[in-house]
Amino acid sequence: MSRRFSITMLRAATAVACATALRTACALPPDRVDATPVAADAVVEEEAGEDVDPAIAPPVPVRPLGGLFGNGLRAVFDAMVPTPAPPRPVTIPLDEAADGEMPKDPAKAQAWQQRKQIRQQARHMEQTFQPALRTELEMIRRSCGSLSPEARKEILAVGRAAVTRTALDFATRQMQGGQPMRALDTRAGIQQPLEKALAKHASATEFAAYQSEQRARQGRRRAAARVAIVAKLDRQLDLTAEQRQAIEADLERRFEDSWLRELDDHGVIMNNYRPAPDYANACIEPHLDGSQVEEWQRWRKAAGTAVVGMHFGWNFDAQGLHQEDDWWTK
Amino acid sequence: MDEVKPRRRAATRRLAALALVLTAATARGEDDRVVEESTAAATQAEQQQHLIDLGANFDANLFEQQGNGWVLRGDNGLQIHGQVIVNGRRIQVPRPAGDEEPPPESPTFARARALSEKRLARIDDACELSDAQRRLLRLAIESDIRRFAAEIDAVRAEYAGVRVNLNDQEGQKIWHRFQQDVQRCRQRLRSLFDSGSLFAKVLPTALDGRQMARIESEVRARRTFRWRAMVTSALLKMDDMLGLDAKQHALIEETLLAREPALRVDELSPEQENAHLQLNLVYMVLSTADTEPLKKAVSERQWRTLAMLMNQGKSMRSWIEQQGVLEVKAP
Repeated sequence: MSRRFSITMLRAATAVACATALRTACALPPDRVDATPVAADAVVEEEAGEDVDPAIAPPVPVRPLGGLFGNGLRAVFDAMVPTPAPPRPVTIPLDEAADGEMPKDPAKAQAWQQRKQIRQQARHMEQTFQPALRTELEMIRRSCGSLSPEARKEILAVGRAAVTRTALDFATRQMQGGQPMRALDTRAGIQQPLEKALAKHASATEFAAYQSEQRARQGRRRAAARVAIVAKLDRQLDLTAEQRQAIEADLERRFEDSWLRELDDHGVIMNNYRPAPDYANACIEPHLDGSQVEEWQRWRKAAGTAVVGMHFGWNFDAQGLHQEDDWWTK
Repeated sequence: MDEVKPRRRAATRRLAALALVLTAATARGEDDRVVEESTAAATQAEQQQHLIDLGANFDANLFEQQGNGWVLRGDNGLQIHGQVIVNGRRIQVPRPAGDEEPPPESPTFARARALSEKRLARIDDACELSDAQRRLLRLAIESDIRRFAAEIDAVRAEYAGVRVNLNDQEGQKIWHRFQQDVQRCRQRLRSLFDSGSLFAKVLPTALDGRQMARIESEVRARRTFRWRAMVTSALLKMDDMLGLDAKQHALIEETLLAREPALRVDELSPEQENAHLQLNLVYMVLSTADTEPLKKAVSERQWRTLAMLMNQGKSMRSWIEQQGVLEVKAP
């Protein structure tokens, strides 16, 4: 314990000293220099050679904000209460046999049991993802109708494995707290392995046609996000026809894929407002008049990104074709 | 004499014993009564905690709710018009002397005036009203508001001081009726300046042809945009469900955009924000199109799912129309 404390203090003191020296030497502002020492827990774990299962790793605390306390004193606070390293991403193997027998060590047994629970949940989710697989297979069939029966079977097998993999990832996210927030695009989780498998079997022309359809589909998603943003603004700010057109055109010019998150807003209300799409403010505010700007600022204050947070959707709502297609098993 | 004394003593003892028993009985009786009173008071207090004052919750549900939500605020101390009605029983509450202040203006006026100002501002932006035109329109609006406020106040008055216990059947029945009445009032509020109102009648006579054309053009543009937004959102779902290719997508989009329904665009209608309603409205409109070209353009597997969606929309027509998202023609 005392060894760990002294390591921590030494690391903190070194970090602060280095940061101060660097700032002085290069005349950098405090926020340009990261004086955060490496999390002590992670180092101690490495030193002890322990294999901690990320499934039971503690949640990642929210990082402090910038400013004097956020940056200048962060190193000191981190030294006293070290920030644990974020949990390593978990990849549960598809083959359940890889889990082996339940370990005797209680900590490992707990992780083993949680893994079993995740597998159980994933089995339920697999059923939910089946319609999405049928839809993706339909798109392949429409573009690549000359696939051989063997190729179809192989692609189908890849698709089924992708469903299992995606269901496992989905269940892991559901059942494990404290993971860093990032989008889980379940539909892409099924589509991308299929595309890789298709590349091996489809003719160049058919594969190009398939890829072109996928690009068009992604383009439609972007267009839908732009329209959704303008529609939301129109409801709240009473835009004129010219304003709607100008904002939509600006959104198209500067579109960022992170704005696709607008498609995940299904009517949440916060402080009596829908979440304000102010991540695209540069395309919005210049087109508003005086009273609209005032309302826009009130709206951002009540339900802007800073308040609502960076929510990521699952990009999945169990939609897909209902009917199995026996073309794939012929 | 000697025989009498022991008898008297015995009688005295009996009397004393009887008195003791009676006193004890009385004492026990009083104790019991006190216990009963405290139990009754506790039960009453507990019941009071479950009582919801519908009169006090009327305006919050009518004016403050986004969407079709319901709010219940435990404002049970409120007594309106000197009476409290608990599950149908009316209890008079004495008014303090000198409490003769005139009732404040109905909150309906403030809410309706806010809506009308917004509409007037939109018209002003579109076609620059003169002072005389603005005055005339305000008069018509005020007349509509007074008529509307009288209707709403009559409904609100039915619930003044009405308290219900939602844990019992009678209370639930009254709560259900309350919801129906508030829902009706919400729809009335949304159609306050629709065709049939004095405002709608005065508007074309107060404005000149050029001004009317500009307003109509603004309304048309807004309606077209809102329909496009609904279609785009529904097509996104259909894309994910059916695995549409670009040609199929374009055909369905074109079919839907050509069938723009008479969406209400004047006020911010919470129902129009309802994604489920919008989706089914789009399916409903698609079900009115000629199905042959659609059927020809999609695969058999896609058609099965698409036909199911169209049937779903078709079967929800009456519910969709009830939600007040479409313009209602004057009778």
